[in-house]
Amino acid sequence: MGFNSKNNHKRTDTSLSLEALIKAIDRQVDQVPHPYAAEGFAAYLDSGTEEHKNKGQQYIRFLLNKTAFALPLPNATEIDYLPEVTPLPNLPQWVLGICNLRGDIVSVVDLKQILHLESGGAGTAKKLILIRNDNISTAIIVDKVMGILSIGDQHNQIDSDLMENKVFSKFIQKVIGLGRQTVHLLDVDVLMTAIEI
Amino acid sequence: MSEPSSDDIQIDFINELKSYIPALRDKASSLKGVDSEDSDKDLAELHRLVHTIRGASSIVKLSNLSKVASEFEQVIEEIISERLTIDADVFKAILCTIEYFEAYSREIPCNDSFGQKLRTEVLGSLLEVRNFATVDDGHDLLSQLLVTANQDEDDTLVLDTEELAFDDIDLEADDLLADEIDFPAAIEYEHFANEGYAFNNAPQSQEDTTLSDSQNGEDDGSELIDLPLQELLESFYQEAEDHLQDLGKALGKLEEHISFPVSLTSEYKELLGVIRRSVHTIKGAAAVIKLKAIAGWGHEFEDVLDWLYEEADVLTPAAISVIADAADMLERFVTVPQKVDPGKLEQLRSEFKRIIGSDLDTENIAENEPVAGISPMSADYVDLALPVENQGQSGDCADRNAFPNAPSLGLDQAKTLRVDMTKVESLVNLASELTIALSGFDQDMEGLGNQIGEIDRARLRLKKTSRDLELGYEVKAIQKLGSAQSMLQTSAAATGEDTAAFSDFDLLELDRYSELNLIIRSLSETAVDVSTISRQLSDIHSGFDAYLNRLRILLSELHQKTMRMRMTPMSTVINRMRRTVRETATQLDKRVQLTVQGEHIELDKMVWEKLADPLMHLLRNAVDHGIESPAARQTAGKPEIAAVHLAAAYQGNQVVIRVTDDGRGLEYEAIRKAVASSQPGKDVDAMSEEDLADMIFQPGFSTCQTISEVSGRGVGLDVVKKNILGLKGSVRIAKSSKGAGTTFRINLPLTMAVMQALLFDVGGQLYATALYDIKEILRVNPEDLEGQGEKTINMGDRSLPFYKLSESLANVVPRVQTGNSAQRPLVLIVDTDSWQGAVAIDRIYSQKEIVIKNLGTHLRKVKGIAGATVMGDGKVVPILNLEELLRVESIRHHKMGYFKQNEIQKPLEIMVVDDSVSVRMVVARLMQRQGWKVHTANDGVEAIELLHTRRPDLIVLDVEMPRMNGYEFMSSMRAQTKFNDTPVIMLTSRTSKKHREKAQALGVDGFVTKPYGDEEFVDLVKQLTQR
Repeated sequence: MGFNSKNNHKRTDTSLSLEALIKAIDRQVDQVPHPYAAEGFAAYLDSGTEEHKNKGQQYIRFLLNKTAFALPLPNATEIDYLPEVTPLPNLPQWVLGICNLRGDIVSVVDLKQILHLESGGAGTAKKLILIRNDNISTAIIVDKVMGILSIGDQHNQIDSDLMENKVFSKFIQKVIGLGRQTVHLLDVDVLMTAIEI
Repeated sequence: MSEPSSDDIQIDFINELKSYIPALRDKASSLKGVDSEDSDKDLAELHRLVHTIRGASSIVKLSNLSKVASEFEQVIEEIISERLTIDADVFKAILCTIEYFEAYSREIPCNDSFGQKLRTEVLGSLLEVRNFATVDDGHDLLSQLLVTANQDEDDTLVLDTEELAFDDIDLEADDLLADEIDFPAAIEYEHFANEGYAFNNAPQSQEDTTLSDSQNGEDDGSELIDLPLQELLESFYQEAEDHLQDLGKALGKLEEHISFPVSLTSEYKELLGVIRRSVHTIKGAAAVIKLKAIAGWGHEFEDVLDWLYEEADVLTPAAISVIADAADMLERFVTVPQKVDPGKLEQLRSEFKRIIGSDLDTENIAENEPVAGISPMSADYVDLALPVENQGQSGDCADRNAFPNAPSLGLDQAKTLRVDMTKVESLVNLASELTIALSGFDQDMEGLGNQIGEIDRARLRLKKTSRDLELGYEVKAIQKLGSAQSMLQTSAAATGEDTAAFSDFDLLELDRYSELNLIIRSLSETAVDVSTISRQLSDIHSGFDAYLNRLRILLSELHQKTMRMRMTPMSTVINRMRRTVRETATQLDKRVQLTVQGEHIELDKMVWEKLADPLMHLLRNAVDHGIESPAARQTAGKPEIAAVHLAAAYQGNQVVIRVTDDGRGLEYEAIRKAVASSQPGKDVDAMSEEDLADMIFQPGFSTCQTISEVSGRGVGLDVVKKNILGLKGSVRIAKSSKGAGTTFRINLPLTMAVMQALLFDVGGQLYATALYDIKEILRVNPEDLEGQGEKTINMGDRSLPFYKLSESLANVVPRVQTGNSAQRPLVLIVDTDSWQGAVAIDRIYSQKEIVIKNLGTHLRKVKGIAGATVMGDGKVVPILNLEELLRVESIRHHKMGYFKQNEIQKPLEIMVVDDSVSVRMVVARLMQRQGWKVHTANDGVEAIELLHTRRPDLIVLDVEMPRMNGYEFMSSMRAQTKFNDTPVIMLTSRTSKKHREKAQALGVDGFVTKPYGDEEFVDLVKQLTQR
């Protein structure tokens, strides 16, 4: 009997710690600040069900220099390490060249130049994201891919007026706060128009 | 002992044979339905069964049965290969044979010699049937060529089907007309139907004469008359299908948007335009190949569309539904002409009249004379639609029987398979991938070969070492052995008797081994092993090499075959061209001969299809505008028969098509006048002949006062140009001088292809270029170079412009100077059709067959780059178009020289006024790429404000904008003296003459329609700003 009860106790213990673990992971993943931890967790659970309702609300989050951006997931077809880029003559400066993505030739666009961000900078192992709309597909270079972002109502939208002074404001669809981080959601159509040749 | 067992086998066989009988009967009886969809399948099945019987019977040594079966099999084979048609005799023979089989199978125990009489009968009838065919053999080939059913044999059948056909048409006529038309009409209709049959029969009899002619050994090529017709029909149906699709799409959009009467906006007009164009093209094509029914209906349909397009202000859903009905009717005419309902036609016709609002009286007249009005027309339709029937997919057996041609055509069609282009494309892609993967193999094979060489060298070293050891140490060791004998003896004594047993031998009499001896021995054994392994490895390697070579050959064959699948020679469209020229010439009463060169030149099927319209247009133009009237030719001393020449040729990775006539040539002064009157702002006197020649490709341009029937309804050279640009090609006037004719030159890229390329290295980066364009590769002496900045090189008797590729690609390649080449540069002598040059490179890498890949959807076309290829290791190699690359370069050189002379030239300042962000951005980007400064404004008001502070060199202006539109802006700007002569380019999607005239009146200098060509736009800007 004694043994049994002990065992039971142990079980509850683990289940508790599992919950805590998930919470911790969520905290890390979503970088929810401590005071809102509980709230954020609940919201996260909600967003899970929300997500099922409208799946179009997923974004891929990435960094350029230290700024976080996000692209609608349906527009991002692939993420990969950046292969060797072959430069070509007679291209605008912001097209770095072409690369071979499993047999297909894809152009490589330096998004930082488009968004007027400082070029170069962080990271050696850069990633590319293959983005596309109905007409064209191209690869953009990003410093780091952060993960998938599901946007529900719980994310406080930052007034876009604040963004007006930013150089890249015309490419931004909306800006949301994710914990302490500000994530700029890119408007793919505007972006695609801008990089069209 | 073997006898009974053989009997057993035979009995088993007989049982087997019995089991086949029902299937045989079934298949044979289904052959009666001469050309049902499954008859091929049935024949094949029948063939299989008979083949099995023959095989089995010969194995079980039933020679008589096997003889019959083999005879039977041959008959079926002949039927399958269409040398024999199933007629009553053949059918009887088949049934007889099956009966024989059945009787045979009833004979148990087996008796091979049974039914001697029946057998000979069956054999006789089979042979007879076949003999008939062998007699026919003489013109077998011909008859196949002519796609005629074997007339001689088929007489009975044809007679039968003739009756059948008449019955059928009568029936149909009754059905169709019973509702609305009284009996006499039907009779008249029948009369016409009969004539329709006669019409269709006409080529038949012609073929007959052809047959007899050629039998007399006078093959004068007259069969050409009908063979192309079939080809023409085939391509017409394909074309019509495409156009009908376009039409349907546009119509769908209209139907979607128009649910109540609306005013005809430009958007709707555009859609109407699409419909009109499709109908027009179908009509034109149908008329050319004499499908008058389709052409007639198309014409009426087009009239209505014309009216709607030109005159109507309001578009009603009712009108749309009439259009839709008419379109359906057109489609029916094309696909299932026998299902065209004349009553419905008439109804539509009156609807048309209502739409156009034509005089009521004429309508009344038409209604008062239904018999006269309808029956000849409808009969006309059905009668002329008959040849269509041949191609129609209708599975209606009776209909087919009406035309002896139909069955064989049907079979022809069954042999081709229509596959989605994307599927073929993916196949081609796969083959390309394989080629690339294989070249990966190549690289590894080279590595493997090297390693095997290494092993071989290591083996030799090993061998030498072991030999040295053996010679140097083993002998010494043995000597040592002698000196150390006493020591050895003590140890031997310790270990046992063995050595002691041999101690009475001298050292030289018996070898004794120390540890070292053993090591040396095993070393030399290993050396031998290694050499064996190395030999085997190199055997395997050379085996691999052979396999790889074989694979490479197969792969390149596969690649070519898959590419070929989509490629068709020019001859597939040439008949249309011939007919176009012939028809046009007859219509205009001119005598013209079309000569064709390069019929074998192959291009993607889609490309030909899309090229057919522009080509026909150019040819029509050549005949109509280019070639003078016979009288004028006579006074000019030209041959009476004018020559129009269509030539296609490969040129590097391009196909060049030239359309040449020997007519009056371009009248530059007339063009100059026309330009002056249509674009008053233009300095026409300064325009060169070349510039003037380009003008004829402008939308809406015409020097012709009268619009003739032939040159259509305003579908001009601009459309030709647009179509060809759509194929990534170009069209220009290659040469034209007054009185000596005109040559149009169309360049088309060979898309998606494999090519022989030269791979070379510039500044550490690999590039490829078409080997075809390279005439020589050599090192040159620096002394041969002349000139400062822009150099030329003396090559014997000529001098070529000299380029250093590392300089042209300076912004792309890291600057690496290779000492040697700097002294005596390695030079490619490039010689294309239109350009020559010497291009210095660093190093030749290899010559290789490469797969051309396009640059993806984003870049599409980069100047100087023909595409890219992927190497075996995944590395991307750009394919350079040296001409394009360096020609641009030479222009820049000029610019740079100019810069140097004038020290400073302010970059152009350009103002872009457009309410669309994307247009602003795209135009701005284009301008910025030229190194110009760009200001943008949202609308006229903003632009006017901007003009307070800025003084742009040129303004790009949209028409429709909020607050202040383009026209308003123009008049307000031109009112200020300061901006009186600032050039303005209007960028708009409005192409109509009205918009253009308005713009010109307001003093707009250039007019660019969206979508525009970058190059043309930039050129226009340069021209207007005198750069």
